[in-house]
Amino acid sequence: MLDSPAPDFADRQVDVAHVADAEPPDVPRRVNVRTFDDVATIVGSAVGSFALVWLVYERLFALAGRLGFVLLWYVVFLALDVIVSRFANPGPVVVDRLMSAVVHGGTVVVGAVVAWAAGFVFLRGWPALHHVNFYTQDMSGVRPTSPLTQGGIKHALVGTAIQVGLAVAMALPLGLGTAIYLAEVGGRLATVVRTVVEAMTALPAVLAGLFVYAVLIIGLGWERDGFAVSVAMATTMIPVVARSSEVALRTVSGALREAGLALGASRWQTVRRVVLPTARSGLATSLIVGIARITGETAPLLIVSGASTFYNSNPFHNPMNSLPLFVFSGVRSGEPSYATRAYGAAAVLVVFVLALFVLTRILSRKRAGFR
Amino acid sequence: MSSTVLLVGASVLGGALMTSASVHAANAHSLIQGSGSSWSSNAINQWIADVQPNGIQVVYTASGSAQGRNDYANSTTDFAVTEIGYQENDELTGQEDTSHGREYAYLPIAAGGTSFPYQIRVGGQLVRDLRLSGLTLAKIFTNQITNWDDPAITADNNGRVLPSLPIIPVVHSEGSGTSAHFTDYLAQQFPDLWTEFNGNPALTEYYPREGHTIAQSGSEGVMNFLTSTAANGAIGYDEYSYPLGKNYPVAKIENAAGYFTLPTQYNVAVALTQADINRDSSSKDYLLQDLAKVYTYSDPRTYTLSSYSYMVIPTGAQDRRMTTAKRQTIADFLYYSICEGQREIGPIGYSPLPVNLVQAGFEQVGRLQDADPGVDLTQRDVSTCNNPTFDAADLNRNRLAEIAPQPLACDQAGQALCAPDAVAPVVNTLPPTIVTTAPVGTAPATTVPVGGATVQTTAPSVVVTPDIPVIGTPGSSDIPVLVTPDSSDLPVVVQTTSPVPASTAVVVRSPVTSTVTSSTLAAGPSTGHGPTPTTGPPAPGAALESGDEPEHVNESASSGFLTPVVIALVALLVIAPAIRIRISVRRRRADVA
Repeated sequence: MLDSPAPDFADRQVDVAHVADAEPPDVPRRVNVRTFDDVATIVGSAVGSFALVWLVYERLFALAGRLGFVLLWYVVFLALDVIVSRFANPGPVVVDRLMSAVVHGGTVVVGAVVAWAAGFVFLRGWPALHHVNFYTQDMSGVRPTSPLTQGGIKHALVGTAIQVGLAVAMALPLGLGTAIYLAEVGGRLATVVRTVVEAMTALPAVLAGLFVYAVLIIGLGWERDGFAVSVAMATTMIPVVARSSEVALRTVSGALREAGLALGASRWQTVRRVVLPTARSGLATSLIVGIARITGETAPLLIVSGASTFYNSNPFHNPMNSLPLFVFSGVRSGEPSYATRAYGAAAVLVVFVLALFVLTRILSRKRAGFR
Repeated sequence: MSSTVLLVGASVLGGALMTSASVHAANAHSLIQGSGSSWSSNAINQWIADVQPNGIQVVYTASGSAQGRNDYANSTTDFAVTEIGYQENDELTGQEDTSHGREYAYLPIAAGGTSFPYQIRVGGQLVRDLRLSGLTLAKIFTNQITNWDDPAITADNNGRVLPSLPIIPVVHSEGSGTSAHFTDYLAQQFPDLWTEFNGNPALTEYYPREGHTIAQSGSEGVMNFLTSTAANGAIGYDEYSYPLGKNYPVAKIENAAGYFTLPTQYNVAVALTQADINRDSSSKDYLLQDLAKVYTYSDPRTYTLSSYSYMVIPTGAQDRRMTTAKRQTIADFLYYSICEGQREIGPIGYSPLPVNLVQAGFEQVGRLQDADPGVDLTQRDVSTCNNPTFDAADLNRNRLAEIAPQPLACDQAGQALCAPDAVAPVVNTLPPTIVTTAPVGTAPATTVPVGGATVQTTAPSVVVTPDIPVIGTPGSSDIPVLVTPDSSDLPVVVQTTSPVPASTAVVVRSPVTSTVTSSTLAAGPSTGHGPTPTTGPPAPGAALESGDEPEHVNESASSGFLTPVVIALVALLVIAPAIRIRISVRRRRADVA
């Protein structure tokens, strides 16, 4: 054994400098690539499963119900997707595809439900919505047999606008004040207040309505007018505004406050000139969230307000109608024309709340950076 | 369809009537709020829409009789509408049911029948000729009969067996006067059955819910549930105007004479001739009803569950909520409702009040003036109400009850079922009479100004032929007139829709009774009341044509919109990944192997 020459490893020339050249180049892994194989599998599975389900569902078993058809189709689509993928792809790819289909499907379902809820209202309310009188007339003198070219939601629109406006006028200073107290002043009492405020955000609006009805209307003899509704709405809105405003105020960096104090400003001057302007977009967001919350509240309206058919712009005298109450009383009446107008009013409400949320999104984008 | 036309006809009449009724405009009006019974809310809403063009604003919430009386007691409303009076002791909670010291008066505003709409589908078709005896009805609503193929129901229907279908009794969930009417009937006619079911023998506004009973809120809630697709086999109780408005069948109920009847305005009028009205004006229950003799009345035309509905008005001089304007509004609203307004509630499922109750109602309204002398109640004469129950010759007779048709022979117990649409014809044997009324806003005059007068006849199928000497165009008879028959024989209003020259004669000919009656209208100052106000109900001529429009109001989006939505969803599922294709021939990396 000692006779055979040992391999001379020293002869092997190892070029350290070019070690890296021997490795394949570093290519980043693309996760979202779609190959033709992917697309073809999905399309083929969809079509194939549709045909299979149609055959079984409609022809063999003659079942009824579109919803069942769609659900069965989706399940069979997933199964077919898995089976076809297994022919040409390794296991992880098959699982990848399956989960992708499931996740996409879930998203579509959620999106479809939301779109359906909004779209259905528009669809059912369209016969009333495209008339101009829908926005310029109230319902006085309109009977169940009156056509849709008579009557409208002017009184409800104005009622909602005035009631929400009054509620904001009452809730904004109180909510903002509470938020400033919690964020700036602090202390042991602040902990108690914060707990109460957080609990009140979960207060069912019907309790606010009951409070106004029992204490103010029956106890103090107030009228059942738009102002009583505003008080109930403000009761619901204050904790929402307080809580989210406090969060907005907390995002203001403490360094800014210290800078203000260091320059000789009093605490109130610091709050007014440094903290509040900085948190402006966040405060606007919290206000809009509060408005969107109370605009659709129906429960206090049912208890406190009377569904009048007359236009009334005085919140301190005589009952005011509002959009949610109009929707409720219209659909409940069972008359087709009233129900159509109610759907139209609901569509207007959806548009209004949607606009508020879009506004919120736009405003919150500017939150990056100061001012 | 026919109910739509009836309703439109009623609304046209209402608009016409309102312009011609005597509404005094001296006092300002203020908006009044009321709440209470949903039993009579269809009639009340009709009147509210009628008086609105004249500046009388009323807001009414149909939250149930108990809630109405409660709201009135708490002084949160200006009037209440209820079927029963203050009970002094609320049977459900043991609490007091009083007005908490607020002074009040009752007056009847509408009569009607509590009907029993049902939904029984056989082969996809709605059964429309069900009839039930009182005992079967009581057993259904006390959960003793639970299936539609029960032999008792079969016996009532003369051997016609319904398919096996569970019965779903639908009751009111709120404190409802309709429940009070029905349970009063049950308590008096079937006391053992009722006491066993309810626990105590008294009537109640809160119908006990046991077993398969479904409770819905309000008359509308009951009808909405009954007409839904999930309610096959359901039967509920509601005032007749609700199922009539939806063209839904109601059960014919057997009366004490052995005939199965419907709650038409005639049958209800016949039944209520037996109602005992409290005539003691010093009693707190003055004008309230006792229906014991109605339930046992042996006239074959009677509908057993007929009753009145009452309004509660504030008569206290120191009432916290009342101002002169509000009292004036209540007075004017009531003067319209129980006088002219009674004309149009007959076709929509109620029955007009008899003259003695209208007179008593006027006296109750007079108490508003006792409380506040500023209220103006002049020009109120009950004989000027064009109420179909009035016989101008003798105010003590109830004309509707007299001309009420006898039931068909097939409606008798033991006879085969009538065809679903068979109706006893109403034959009017009275000669036509012409009544003229003073127009709005002017003092009563001896001559009736043209354009504001109404010519009324009680003959059916009237053809109006104005025989008018027109100045300038002799022989022309081309004056547009409007004839609005609202049922087979009720009084017809003839109204001119454009100004007519002086000394206009209007001739009314009735082909049935072959009588000719004529009257002369004298020209008067133009008050502009010929055409109806633009803010009010639509022009009479237009209204009748547009009566068909509401039928096209129904959802244009039928179930057909589901298909494109589903296809869109599917396309989204399929195409969304395809959009993200990067068609590439890149091979998968080895690291996934």
